[in-house]
Amino acid sequence: MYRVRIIISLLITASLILLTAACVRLESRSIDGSVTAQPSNGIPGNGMKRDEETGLMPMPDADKPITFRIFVRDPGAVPSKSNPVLKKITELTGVTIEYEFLVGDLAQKQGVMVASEDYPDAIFAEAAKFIDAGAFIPLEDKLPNYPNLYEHYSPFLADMTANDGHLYVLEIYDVVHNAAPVFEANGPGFFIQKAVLEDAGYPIPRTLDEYFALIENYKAKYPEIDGVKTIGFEILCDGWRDFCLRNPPQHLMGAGNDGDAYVDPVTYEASLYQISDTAKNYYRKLNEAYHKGLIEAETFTQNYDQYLARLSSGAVLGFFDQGWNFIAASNVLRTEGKHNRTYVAVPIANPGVRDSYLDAPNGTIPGNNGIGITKKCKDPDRLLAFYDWLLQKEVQDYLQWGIEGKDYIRLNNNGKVYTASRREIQNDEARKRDLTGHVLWNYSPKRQGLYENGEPCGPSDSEDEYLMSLTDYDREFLKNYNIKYPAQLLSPPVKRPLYYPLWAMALDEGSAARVAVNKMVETCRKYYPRMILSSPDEFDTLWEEFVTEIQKGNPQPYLDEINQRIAQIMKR
Amino acid sequence: MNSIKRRFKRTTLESVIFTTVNTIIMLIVIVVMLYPFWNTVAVSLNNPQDTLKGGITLFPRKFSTYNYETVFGNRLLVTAAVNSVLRTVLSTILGVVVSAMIAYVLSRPEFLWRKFATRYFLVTMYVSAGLIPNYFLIRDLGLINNFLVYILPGMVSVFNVIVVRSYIRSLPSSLFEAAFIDGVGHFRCFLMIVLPCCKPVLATIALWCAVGAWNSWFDTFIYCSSKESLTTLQYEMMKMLAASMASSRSQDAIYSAGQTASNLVTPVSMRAAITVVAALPILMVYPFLQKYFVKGVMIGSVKE
Amino acid sequence: MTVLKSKLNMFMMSLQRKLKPYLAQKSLFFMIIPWMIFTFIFSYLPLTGWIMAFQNFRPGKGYWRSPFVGFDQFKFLFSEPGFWRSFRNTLGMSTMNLIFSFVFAIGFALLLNEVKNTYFKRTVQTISYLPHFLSWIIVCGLISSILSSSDGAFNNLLMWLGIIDRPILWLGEPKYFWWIVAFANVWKETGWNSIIYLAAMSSIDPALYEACEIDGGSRYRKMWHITLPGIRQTILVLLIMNLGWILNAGFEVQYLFGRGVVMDVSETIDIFVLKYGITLGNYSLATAAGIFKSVISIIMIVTTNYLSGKIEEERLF
Repeated sequence: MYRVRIIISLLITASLILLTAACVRLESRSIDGSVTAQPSNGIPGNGMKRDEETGLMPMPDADKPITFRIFVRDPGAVPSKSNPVLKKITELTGVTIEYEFLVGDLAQKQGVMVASEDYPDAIFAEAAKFIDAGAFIPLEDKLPNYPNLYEHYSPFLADMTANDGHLYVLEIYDVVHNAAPVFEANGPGFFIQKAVLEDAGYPIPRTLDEYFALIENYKAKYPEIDGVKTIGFEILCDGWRDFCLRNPPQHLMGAGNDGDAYVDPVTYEASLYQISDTAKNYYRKLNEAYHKGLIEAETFTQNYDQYLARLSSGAVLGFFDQGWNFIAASNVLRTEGKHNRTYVAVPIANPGVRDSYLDAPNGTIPGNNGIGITKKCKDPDRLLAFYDWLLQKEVQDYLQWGIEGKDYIRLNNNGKVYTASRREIQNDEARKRDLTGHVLWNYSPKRQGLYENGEPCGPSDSEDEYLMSLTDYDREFLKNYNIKYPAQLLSPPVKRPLYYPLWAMALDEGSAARVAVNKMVETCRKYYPRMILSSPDEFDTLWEEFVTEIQKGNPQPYLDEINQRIAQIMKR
Repeated sequence: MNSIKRRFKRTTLESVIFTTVNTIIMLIVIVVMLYPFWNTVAVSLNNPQDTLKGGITLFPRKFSTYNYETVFGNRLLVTAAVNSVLRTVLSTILGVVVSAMIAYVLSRPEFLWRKFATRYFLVTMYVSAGLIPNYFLIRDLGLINNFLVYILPGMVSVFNVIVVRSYIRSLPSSLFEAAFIDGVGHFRCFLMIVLPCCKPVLATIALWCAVGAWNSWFDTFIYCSSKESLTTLQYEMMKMLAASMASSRSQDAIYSAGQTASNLVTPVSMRAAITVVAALPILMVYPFLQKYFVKGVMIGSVKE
Repeated sequence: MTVLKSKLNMFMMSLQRKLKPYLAQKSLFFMIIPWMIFTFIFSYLPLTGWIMAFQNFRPGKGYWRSPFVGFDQFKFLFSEPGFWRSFRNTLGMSTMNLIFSFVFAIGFALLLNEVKNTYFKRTVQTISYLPHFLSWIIVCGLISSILSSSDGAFNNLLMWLGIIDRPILWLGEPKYFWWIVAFANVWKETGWNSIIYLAAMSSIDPALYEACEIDGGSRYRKMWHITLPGIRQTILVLLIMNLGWILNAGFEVQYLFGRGVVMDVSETIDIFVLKYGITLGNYSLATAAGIFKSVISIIMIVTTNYLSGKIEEERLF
């Protein structure tokens, strides 16, 4: 042991000497492997002192203020100018980030930006459009100069490299080295009201039949909930949110949230789940449910607001949706203390098929879900240095957790939880935005998941923090299933193949593949509700008509295109 | 005396029925047309979380001023309001004068280019280049991030020109003939005769221009979004609306899944509040213009 | 020399003769030429962008580096069954909108004009135009809850009146769709659209009313024989101009109400273009559809203008 330590210290000293001699950077490695950059002039602490409040080391250029403008593809609100965390960051780095959040239509905004070449300093939007237009500067030669950025992205460099061999985009989501457990199904799933499971003695439904039987029984037993007529199953069909109508078959087939085709897990051959037997059975089941009065016809015409209103009344027993899409409704139910009316995802799949609703990191990232630095950027190196600085563990902790003792408490097992006062801020959208570093953290390269020692990068990765947030009802509910968190009702997260997911493959605009998939989706949109509403003996005829219509629209160019892309990626 | 006699004469049975039926129709119109705005006000004054549950009709269920506090908490609100007022006033004045001027020329039967010019203007109503070519034009004219972009592109409204022109045509031609015999030139004729005689129609197009300028946000979005000092009220409202949608859509919402979020603004509530805040100022302009086109028919035309 | 001089003289004289009528109207020209130039810059210059319709335009490449594809965009449009379906829907809905909005706005203006109490009249008018200030998304949300088949006010009313015995799914039945769109427009815009007619009514010569009254004309007769003809010209001009926009049935209402169940009747050209054009970043297709619409518009107004000139002796141009 002693020897090993000597060797390590010798190695470290040697490398330090080498680095200093080369007059590059003085580095000090911390447990997470991030590097705290020292003044590059080689004189450590050249008037630079750790900040007293945060203990952070300022950047060398902190006295030269610079402002970067970044366009963000999401709608959002700019943090207040008096945000103490952002002020501190500016004080320590000299960098101010001005966000322009999306207002109106993204396609229009992007089209105009690209056509006019009026770019801000950096852009987080649909990267393919900007790369195609030559808007972004290649970063592959610069990245190695920034140790934290390089370390952060090195496992993913292949994914991040565009077709032309350059690296343009600093991915900001899912750059995870060690995944944290999934606590709740935030993605797709068949959701069911907790009260239904409670009433039936806490079973785990696994097939459509079991799922609908539970709902049917409960509805028969309780035709009204809090004075509102009980609704068995809701299907949201409003605009792009109609994935609630169209996506279930692929999940029943045991696929993840892949996109508009089913990819065989063995041969990687894409096919249309929309016209599969599973789909036929599923929509027949819904047709049955409709005639049993479990589904109301109105579900096909109501808008998103009405859907949320239904859900937040607590009278809806089940639906297929993605977790993030109905958070607002769950929130209302919680606020009103109707904890037994909140929902949980259950592992519904074809008989004999293992459900796979949860994604485990597969060691790949989409490669286009991040920030590109434009050729109009004032000082790309300064921006990269800033991001590099942000990736230090101490800075990440400061942005996500705040100040130890005041905002969060460290637990023995490397865990962290917020203090009560900070948790309150965290749950208040406006105060979270104006008092914490959340927005800057969210729209910059960032650490997610767990550090090597098991420490959670942020509150959403922290098991302790999650368990703290549970209500008594939920604790009781989980105890009955003998699980720690709701996602454990589902099969453990599945590691997906490298190509995954299909929806992230940017198809060329106006290409045959794009037109084909568009038409296919339209046909589904049109026929599924009709089939569900039809009389049971008409169902088969309608199904035939639907399949013919899909074939007539010629989906082949789409399948060809994605098959080719999958093959290309899987070759790696 | 004369008028009393006339009133007696008018009070026939038919007239009574007519008045009754008409009043009833108007009362129905009031109820039907007032409801949407009334409902919007009720929603805007309701607790945003509670609004999600739907079912707000005439009165707030859980009274709250939170939506308005959020709207008025916007730090750019004053700048935005000043810009909106400025662009509305300037666009309206210029829009009305320019339309009237073109309309007058096109209404003169002796104008040599009358046919050609009418068609020349008319065609522009039915052709449009689309977003990107327009952007190029605005950029090449140096109007990006420039206040003038709020005024110039919409200054000549052919629709308004045609509306004014047909009004001028309906004026008695003797009006102009008398003026020309007196040796009045076209420009003075326009100023001294056309403008005063066309008050009702000019008030109408002034209203159109004002409401159009006040309500537009797209030009701010496309041409001036990177310059805060040029923001407009409607654009700020759109921004707040977009932000209220963000809270339920962003990928980082994962964390709130286990938690009860407080003080969330919801899009439905936000939309209601911004509609009320944005509409009230322009609604206040209305009574000033209304007197020109809503008045007894008799009084209306006797004044000339 | 003298020959040349006289020739020059003659030329100058003929020029003067030719220019004379123009010079006589120089003030008229001064009043309009600046605006013609202005219009040229803001409306005609950007039309060079129509070149995109014949390209596979990429925003990053600009007009000159984008590949030319001839009439491919038009071919795609015209060969797509969805396009012709949306063409039919657009024509249907905008014809219905046009008829309803004209009838209701004119009818409302006529009736309002008969209200004698100025205070009441102003109140009604102010209220009637309030819905114009609401966005479509609010109005459609309200309509959607009023028409709801579970406890919607409209179904409840009809059931109370005994007209129907169980709720109807209004927004899910293709046969009601166009009517709902038309009435949504009426609800939102009637008050706003009536303003111009009220303004036109104020220019009617009061002597006409007096004459009618002396003849013992009823109020109904005055409305029909004096007020309506008095605004005839305004109606015609607006009608012709609006007919030019026959392919602009809007897209917001249709988009907000357009679920899968009614898709066959709800999709308009604008939505079609939105789906296959803008959302796919295909500006060329959108431009091609725009050109198609412009051509139809111009054919429409030329025809209606001609017909109107024949029948009513009133032309727009």
